Amino acid sequence: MSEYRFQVNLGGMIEILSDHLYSSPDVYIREILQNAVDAIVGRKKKEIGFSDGKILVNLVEGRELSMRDNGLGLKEEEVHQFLAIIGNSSKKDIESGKIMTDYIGRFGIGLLSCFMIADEICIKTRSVTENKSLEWIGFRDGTYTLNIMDETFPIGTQVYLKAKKGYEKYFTSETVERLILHYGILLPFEITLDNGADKKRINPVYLPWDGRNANKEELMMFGQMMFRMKFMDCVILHSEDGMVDGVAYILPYSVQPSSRQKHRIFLKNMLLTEEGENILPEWAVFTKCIINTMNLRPTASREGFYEDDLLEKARKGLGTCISDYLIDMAKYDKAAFDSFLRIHSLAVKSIAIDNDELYKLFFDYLEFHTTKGILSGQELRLSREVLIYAQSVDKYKQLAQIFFAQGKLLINTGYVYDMDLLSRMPEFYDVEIMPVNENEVDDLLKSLSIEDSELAIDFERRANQVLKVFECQAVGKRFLPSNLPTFYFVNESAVLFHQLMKAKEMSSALFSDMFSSFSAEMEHKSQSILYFNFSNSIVRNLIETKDVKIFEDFVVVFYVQALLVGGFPLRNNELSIMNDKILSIMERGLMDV
Amino acid sequence: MFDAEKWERLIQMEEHGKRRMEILKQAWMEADAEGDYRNRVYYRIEYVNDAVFYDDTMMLYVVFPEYLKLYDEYNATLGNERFTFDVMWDYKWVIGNSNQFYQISVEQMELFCKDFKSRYQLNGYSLSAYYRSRYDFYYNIDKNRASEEFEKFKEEKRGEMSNCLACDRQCMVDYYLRMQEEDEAIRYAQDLFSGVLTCHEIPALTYGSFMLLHMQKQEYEKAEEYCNKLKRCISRLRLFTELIGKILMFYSTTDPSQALDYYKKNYGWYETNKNPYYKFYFAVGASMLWKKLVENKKVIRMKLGRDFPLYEEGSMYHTIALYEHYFNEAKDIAKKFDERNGTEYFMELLECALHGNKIIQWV
Repeated sequence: MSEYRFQVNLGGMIEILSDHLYSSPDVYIREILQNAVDAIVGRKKKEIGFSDGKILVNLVEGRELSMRDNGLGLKEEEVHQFLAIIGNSSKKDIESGKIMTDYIGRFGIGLLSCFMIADEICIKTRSVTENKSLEWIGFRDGTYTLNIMDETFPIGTQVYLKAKKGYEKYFTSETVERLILHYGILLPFEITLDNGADKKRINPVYLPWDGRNANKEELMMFGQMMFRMKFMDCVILHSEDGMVDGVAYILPYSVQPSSRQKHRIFLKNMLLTEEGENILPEWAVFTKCIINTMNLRPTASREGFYEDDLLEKARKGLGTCISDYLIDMAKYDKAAFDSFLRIHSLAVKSIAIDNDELYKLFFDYLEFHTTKGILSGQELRLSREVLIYAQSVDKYKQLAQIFFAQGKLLINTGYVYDMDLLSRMPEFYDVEIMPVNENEVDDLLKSLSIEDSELAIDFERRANQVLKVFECQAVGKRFLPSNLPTFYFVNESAVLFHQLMKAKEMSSALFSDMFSSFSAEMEHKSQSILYFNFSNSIVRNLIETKDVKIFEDFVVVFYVQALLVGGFPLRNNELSIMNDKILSIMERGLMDV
Repeated sequence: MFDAEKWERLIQMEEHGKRRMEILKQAWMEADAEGDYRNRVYYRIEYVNDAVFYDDTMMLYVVFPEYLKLYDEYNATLGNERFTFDVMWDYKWVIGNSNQFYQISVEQMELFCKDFKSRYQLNGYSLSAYYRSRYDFYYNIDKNRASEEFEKFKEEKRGEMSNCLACDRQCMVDYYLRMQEEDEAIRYAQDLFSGVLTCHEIPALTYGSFMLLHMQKQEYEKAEEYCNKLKRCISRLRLFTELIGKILMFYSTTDPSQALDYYKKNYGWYETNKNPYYKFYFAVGASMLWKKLVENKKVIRMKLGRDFPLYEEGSMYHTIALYEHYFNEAKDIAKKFDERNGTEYFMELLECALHGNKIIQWV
């Protein structure tokens, strides 16, 4: 068997890589800036006492750019190794110490991005360990030259680029400054831009959250500048794990707890992504962050970090910063916390469910919809009543008028998180909670007088005959409001049973056996009751009527109407049955006129 | 005239879960009344999505048959590939979760599978999800048959209807754990642990699998590591799975006070959930807990809601009564599963957990 090697057209490869690997020519600045940063970081490690890293960018407006750093520089051997062999730097090199882990970028493939905007790349360099000034020029066809310069070049490296035709806009002061700040605003050393007419430092002298007492106003302005929006407030973030620092900005609008915020994340002070996701706890959806990490490991897509223990600890640390901020605000600045809650109550509820400390802290401030208006958690826990709740909004709507009319408390826990929050109350407070059930409803409805009880025996018997087909039971009671003739109540099993029966009617025979199995389990647990209000004048007339047809028609109409009011699904042509009955009642009414 | 925009706004405003499901239900009832076929199907699809991921899988079986029929009747009206895709995607969940409902007989499952397969073949979809579901279904019924289905799953090319990469990878992990090839399972799990492959349920399920593995091996420290990670995932995603019961089983084995705490937080979920498979594991965990506590404590004081079947006004509960309650519940469900499956797997599992004091394979 013979062995062959692939033939690689280097020039073609470079063209493919430089023109297609990168999303936009913008990234050429990121790549050469990254190389400069690596060189400075490398020199800091190697040379004790070196702390004055600098990057100088010279521009001939619209034509030429040079970026010079005072980092490690390259030896002749390194020039061949790093500038000329694509793919030479590897994880193995990092692990073996050939390339220090502080290097984020690599020469080689990153440098190719310069061919998007220039036909040649000229690099002048002198290593901190070799007194040789070198000039390397790389061409698009994959060839390069290397000369030893006569003059002595300062320690460090300079990349020189001349604009290709059509790419002049990437060489203007405005573009270069914008791009450098975009990728390197957090870099901790001076970056100077000199365009001949003006020479100035373009990056901040210090980070707004770093090294001194942070000024909130400054932090807010920084956030506004970075995200082009105004925030409610901000929190400084710090975690020793992963060496993470930054700021979390509180969004001024409400967001879904399941939404994902995109954070601006820097790795070793260079922008990693504007769409970072997994670095904060998921509950912190109300923040948008600027974060720098020196230690976390980015994923290949560079939009997040590897889920490892370090990330977990860092995430926990950052979460603590935000929860501490909320705790302080709740304790010491009630007004601010109220405004925060008005916007982010959903997020706060979602945090409180899973964190005992935060639950106790926030519960008092949370709001619940009840038949006694909107009550705070504090009002609920101090209430002496059993806290009865409706687990769904539909059920709440169905029962609210009865509870309201009797002055009884019913809490609507149909909204997201309210059920979870309420069900944890007995763990922390001396309260009793319970879902509304048939007994509660029965208790609310008043018993009949002795005379009415006697009347009810016959009435219920007659009504039950009519309602049998609907698997519903008639019960006579007295309740407020008296203009409400009937009140329909079903337990959860009955709701499901009805739904199953209706689904069976609507579905193909393929599912018949399955529905039969499900509904067989539900049938004996289900209970549906139509309460007739003996205080209501129509019901009173109905009790007395001897006309069987009128009686039947009214009972059916009441039943279907109660289903409609309660928002229950109708089945077995219930709606058309009701229509028939109404028409029949109307017809009789007209005949009587 | 059906106001789809109004409903869309209301739906968009809500977080996934119960409340959103209620709105979707109202929306489809109105669409039903107005004869708006597209939305009759669309809202039901959305509802089922929330039911499966945020609420109760049982509702998948209540609602899916309705819109499958609507889809069949009005396919020409609805007529686009997206609808076909969505309906067929949900059908995958129907057969994929059938193992969790003893109410679905083996014969019924075979009927589903026959119908499902012909629809997938008609649309040119990959059958990988089909074989995977059959593997899951038959795992507790007939191991050889399950292995055959697994081999077909591995051989079948992935397609647009396949489960996500993370879920399929998890299937491999579980398979090798069941085959007691731990190294292979770990190898497959690497990308799930690191977050390279992830989805709504992954890595939660992966943590769950490894928690149980280490429980079986009585390596409780390792099991606890996975348990902690798993708990975070579950609470973060409000994910309702059998893992809640399995966590309770872990704590009941290792730390009764933690178990009691976890029980008190989740007993309400057990009462309302309708998935018997999920309930089974919780009932086993609760039986294990109360059996342990019976030995030292006859009566325990704790606040439970009035809807709890054994509710006591004075908040004093007899541990033996609690044990018997959950044991009977677990036994009842186990018998029904075993009856459906023609095996004794679930009863054995219950007996081993409670009396043999060991965890048999159940990943």
